[in-house]
Amino acid sequence: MAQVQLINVWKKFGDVVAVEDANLTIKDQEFVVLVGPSGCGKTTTLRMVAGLEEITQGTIMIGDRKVNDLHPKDRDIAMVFQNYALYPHMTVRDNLNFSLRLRKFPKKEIEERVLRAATILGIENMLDRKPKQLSGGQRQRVAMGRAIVRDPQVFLFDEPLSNLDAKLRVQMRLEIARLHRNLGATIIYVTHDQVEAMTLAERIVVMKDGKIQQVGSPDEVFNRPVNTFVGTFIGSPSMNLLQAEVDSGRPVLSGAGYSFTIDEKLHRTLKEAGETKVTMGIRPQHLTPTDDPNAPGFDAVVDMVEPLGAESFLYFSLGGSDLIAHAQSSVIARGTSTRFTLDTNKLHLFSADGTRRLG
Amino acid sequence: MGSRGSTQLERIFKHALLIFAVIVTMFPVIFVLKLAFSGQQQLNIGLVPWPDDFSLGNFADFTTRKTAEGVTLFPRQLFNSVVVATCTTLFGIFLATTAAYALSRFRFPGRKPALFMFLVSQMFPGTLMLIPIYVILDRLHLLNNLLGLILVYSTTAIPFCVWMLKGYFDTIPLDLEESARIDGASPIVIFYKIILPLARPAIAVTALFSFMTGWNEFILAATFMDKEVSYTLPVALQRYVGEYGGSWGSFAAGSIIVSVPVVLLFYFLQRNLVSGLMAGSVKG
Ligand SMILES: Nc1ncnc2c1ncn2[C@@H]1O[C@H](COP(=O)(O)OP(=O)(O)OP(=O)(O)O)[C@@H](O)[C@H]1O
Ligand SMILES: [Mg+2]
Repeated sequence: MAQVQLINVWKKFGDVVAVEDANLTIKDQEFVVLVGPSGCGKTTTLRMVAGLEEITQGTIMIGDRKVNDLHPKDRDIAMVFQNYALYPHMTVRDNLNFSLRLRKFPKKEIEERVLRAATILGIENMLDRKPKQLSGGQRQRVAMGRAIVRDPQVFLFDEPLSNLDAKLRVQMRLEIARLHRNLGATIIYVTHDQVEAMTLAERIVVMKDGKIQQVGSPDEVFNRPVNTFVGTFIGSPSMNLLQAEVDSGRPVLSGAGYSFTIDEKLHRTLKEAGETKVTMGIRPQHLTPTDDPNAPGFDAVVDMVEPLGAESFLYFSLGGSDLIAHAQSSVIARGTSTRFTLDTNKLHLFSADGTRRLG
Repeated sequence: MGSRGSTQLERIFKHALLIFAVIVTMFPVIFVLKLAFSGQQQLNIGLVPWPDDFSLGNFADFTTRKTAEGVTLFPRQLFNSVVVATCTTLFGIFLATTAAYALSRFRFPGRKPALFMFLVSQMFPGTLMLIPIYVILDRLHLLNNLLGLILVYSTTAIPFCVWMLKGYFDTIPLDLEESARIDGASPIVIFYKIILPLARPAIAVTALFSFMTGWNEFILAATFMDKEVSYTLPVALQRYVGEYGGSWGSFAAGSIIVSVPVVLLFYFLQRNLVSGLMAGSVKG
């Protein structure tokens, strides 16, 4: 097993910059998830680590080897493709042992390894089938098995679960987590599903437009997002954003249709930084309906209710921004005027353009 | 009864039409069969689809004719045809699969023009090439030589085969090759172990096409070969109704003999022609 390092890595396709100056160190045995919207460069990053895509500029290290010019087969990595890429004309067994046969492993060891991987994944009774005789989930397992038999230094996964239905996805997610614990492997995992990212990752790398936005534990990216993009991308439903002005005297934030008191210390920090306009972020979970007319917050009319059994999400708009609040009950009906309060300790404050976190 | 009667009528009409079409299509074949088994040489176009008396004489005549020196021609000519068609197929497939793979997967200067030239070359009638090819073979001292025919046939079959195979290779997902690369396969291994097995249906089609080119071609073979012992079967066949006069019966028997291998080949390859081999490799 080994650590993986990206140092000032760039990838350009002609004029398109797919990855811009990526710097990232993935520790030995760490499970890192690359997450971001479509086209942000996740796959490209992964493919550069795999050696399937040339690096325009920069350095990639696996262990203590610089691998920039190394062939994929010499990098000691295994990759699970989004569409599995099983060899359709080979049986499951041959799919699993293809790499070992090419590497001229002794027959006995090949058999042992294949059987071990198949047992881990519960596909040992399907070894003589062809991929087309398998279900989606089973194919997915074979694809993972193909990586496991290699016992590589680094596992690369490119959205391995995106072709499965929701239930199977949850199940496979657990299995991948278990696999990681058992194999103690370094894993780089690409997904655009933030739930997958939050549940699997030891560290999350959030990307946007080819640039790494934030690297941190799931807790960090959720509780201390570095900008509004990360704030809104991580978490579901996504974080509410409101433009606000910082009062020059009192510790008050105000905007269209609301104003409330904030922490004195935070106010001082904002003033010292010279910020008069800020973007305020609050997660739906911290924006709740209240009966207390003096609670910090505002009044608004509920546009839509999304009931989820015991709880519900309330959609409304305030001064032109669409907001979502979370209610512990589902008694509030559409069209009611309601007072909403927010937990001022859970406020996220960003620069007005949303690119920086303040305080 | 009303609506059922009309569908019944429709059905009868449809079947009548189909039966008529089958008769029209089959008639020449039946006629050749009748002629071949009649034991006679003259064209006797009766409507009865079976011969007056059944005889294998025409087959015997076709397979046992000798040259003035007493050499039996048929085995020699059969050998020529088999060698030419088989080598054309093997050589053609080898060249076409490798070329098509390169054209499908690699980007290099001249790729587009090459594909275009292949297409253009298909637009001229084959006989146009007769004279230049004759001159070339003459210079190479390959006239009256099976190798000359093999070269000419395999190269003329290549454009079609390359287009056909390239189209098929284009549909094989790149992921499979990338996966194989990570697994440790070299380009050659990928080509032989992944691409070729997956392209079996397309290869079967091109093999059939190349084989039939070599097996059936007449004009070039007739022009380049001037000794009877080096004829291929189509040229030999033609002699029965040309130089020897109208030995239509032997001609018909010969035609049947000549078409049997192609029919058999069709039969054995047809199960490879079934596509859908890609099913199950990638989901989506
Ligand atoms: N071979 C290529 N040629 C040109 N541009 C490319 C190529 N591959 C990727 N790109 C571009 O690079 C950018 C990043 O693509 P990439 O596939 O890495 O995105 P992604 O984050 O994996 O997205 P998704 O979630 O949709 O898979 C995109 O703008 C894409 O259009
Ligand atoms: Mg991708």
